[in-house]
Amino acid sequence: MSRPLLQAEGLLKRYPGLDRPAVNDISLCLMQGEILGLLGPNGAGKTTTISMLSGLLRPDGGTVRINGREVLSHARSVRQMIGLVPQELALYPSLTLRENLLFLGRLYGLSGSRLQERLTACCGMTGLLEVLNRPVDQLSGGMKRRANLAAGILHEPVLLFLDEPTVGVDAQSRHLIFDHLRQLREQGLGMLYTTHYMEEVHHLCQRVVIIDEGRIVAQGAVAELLEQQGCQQLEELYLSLTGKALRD
Amino acid sequence: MGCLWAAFVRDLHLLRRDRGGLAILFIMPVALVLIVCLVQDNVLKSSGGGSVALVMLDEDGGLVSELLQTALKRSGAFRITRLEPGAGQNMEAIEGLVTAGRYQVGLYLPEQLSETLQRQALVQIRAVCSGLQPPAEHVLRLGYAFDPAVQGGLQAGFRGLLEQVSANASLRVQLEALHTVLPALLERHISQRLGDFYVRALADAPFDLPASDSLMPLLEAHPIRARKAFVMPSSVQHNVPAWSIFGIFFIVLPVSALLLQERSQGVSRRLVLAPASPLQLLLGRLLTFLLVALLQFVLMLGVGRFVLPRFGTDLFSAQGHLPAMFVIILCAALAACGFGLLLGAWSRTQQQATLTAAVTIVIAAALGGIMVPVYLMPAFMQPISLVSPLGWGLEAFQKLLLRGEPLAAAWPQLTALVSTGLICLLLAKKNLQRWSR
Repeated sequence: MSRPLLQAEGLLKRYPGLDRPAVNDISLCLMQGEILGLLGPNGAGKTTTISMLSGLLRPDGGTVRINGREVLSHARSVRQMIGLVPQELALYPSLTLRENLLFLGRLYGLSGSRLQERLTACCGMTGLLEVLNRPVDQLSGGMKRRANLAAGILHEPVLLFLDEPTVGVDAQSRHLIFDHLRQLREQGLGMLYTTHYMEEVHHLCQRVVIIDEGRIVAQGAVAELLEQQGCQQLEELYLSLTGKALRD
Repeated sequence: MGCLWAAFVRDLHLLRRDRGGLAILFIMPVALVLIVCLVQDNVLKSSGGGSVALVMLDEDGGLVSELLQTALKRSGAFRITRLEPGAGQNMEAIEGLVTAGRYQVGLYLPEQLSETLQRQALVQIRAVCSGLQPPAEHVLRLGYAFDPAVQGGLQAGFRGLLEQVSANASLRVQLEALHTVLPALLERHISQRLGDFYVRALADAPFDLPASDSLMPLLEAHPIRARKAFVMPSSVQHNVPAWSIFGIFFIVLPVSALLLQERSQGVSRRLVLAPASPLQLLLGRLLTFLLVALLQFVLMLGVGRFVLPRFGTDLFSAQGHLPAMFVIILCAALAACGFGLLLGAWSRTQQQATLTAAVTIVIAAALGGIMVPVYLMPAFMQPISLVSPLGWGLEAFQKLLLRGEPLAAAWPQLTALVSTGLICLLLAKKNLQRWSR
């Protein structure tokens, strides 16, 4: 880890009609080559936080910097630096994987041989070269998830937002995806990883941020947090911080 | 520019894969033009604009029959079937055929109609010339019947034609009677007033009033054709542009559906995060569907030019306005695409967008005179029709094709269409940002 990629300070967001802020005074930092886990129950404010971090949502207070640039005032250059692997497939099902990636690559200013090069590299890394010309809706569940990852890293972002990228995926595909993510981390990519699967965070993330009711309730290296709270498992720690009451 | 091109290519691929949707985009307007043109062609026929089936029992064969057949032939509106006079053929038979709907009009000329008319005219003229009261003759009658489904316009027109023939026939026989009576009347008058000398002179050179059938009509009605480009409105001339506009506005459905699919599939989130201008992405989509609209119109022109005439309709004529017609179509397509993008951006579900689009287009088509001409609507509805974008497109076409005006004359309609498209586009762009949250 060398330099901070993502720096958020005092993020605040209120929605009309709600008595408490959706996000209240969230500050976090993500370093180059780090995978930071973002955990929290449903309705805790994870999506709002990611939306503000990626510049999709204007915060009511606080600042976000990516690679030293303020997100809202340098929206265009910041967007070039970030990638997204959303929970949904987020690709056109009727188009082939190649057509999807060519389209997305062009949106990021790639063209010609450079685009072909990146397309081959991303699909090679995710093991999708053989299905490049197949419509996305004909790919298996695991292939779709990997295609989603390939689309997120096509333009070589420095920061990747992963929003529950392994939902509904079998163990084999999940392990393959983890391997890809570790490989990307080694290449220096920073990642913000949200999930409800605690063992994923345990295996992948160096640090975690746990939020509840719009506030950070714990932040730090997984091992340190477990030790501080006297817990054996991350799930135990998580439940002790956020409670066992059912959420939205 | 790269993003715009990327979005254009992407949408071409999406359309290519959605063969069902693409087929609807092209087949639906073609089916509409075909069916509506043929149906309305028939309606025009039954309202006097084409060939109406007429059954005729002519037991007369004289002057009235001759005048009537000439008038029917000249009108060009009737397809005449003549029944042979004989057993079982009478006025009731004609009425039965018409009431059964086999013919729209029935006509019965009774036996010796013309002879009786000529005889009565002679008696009448003799009486009048002798200063006597004409005897109260029985009024002769031509029998006619209408299919109850025939429109009032045709009924009124046909009754007018019969009255004209009756008046002509009466005038002819009265003139003939006068021609017969006048020389004797003159001789009698001269002998009474001037004496035998003139009577003898007349006997040597009898007064003869030459009869002639070659009298030309002194007055006739004539259609005013101020412009060379004047074309009689036909179902094809009205429906090809009208239903092309209707079909083009159905682009709203796939345009809004694509946006909503992008939202439900999570693609919109990826798009909003990309360093691409939302306006460029929308313009790319707009370009694709403008191209589709142009192809749709080419297909519709082909139908009007090559397919419909095979079913007996008139040939669609662009009258040298083809480039101008494409300009109108592009303006209409811009409004349609803009509305589709706005609907896609505002709607929460695809069902909501589909229903809104279908209902809005059908209402706008009805208001805009696509289905029924605006002048036939109730007076209070006619001003409302001015707000229909489909009506603007149709009005622009009618200025070109029916009134022979140049494209510049349609600038208010074209401006309205383009403005609608651009306003919708900008509102859609404003709404795009909220998708990702």
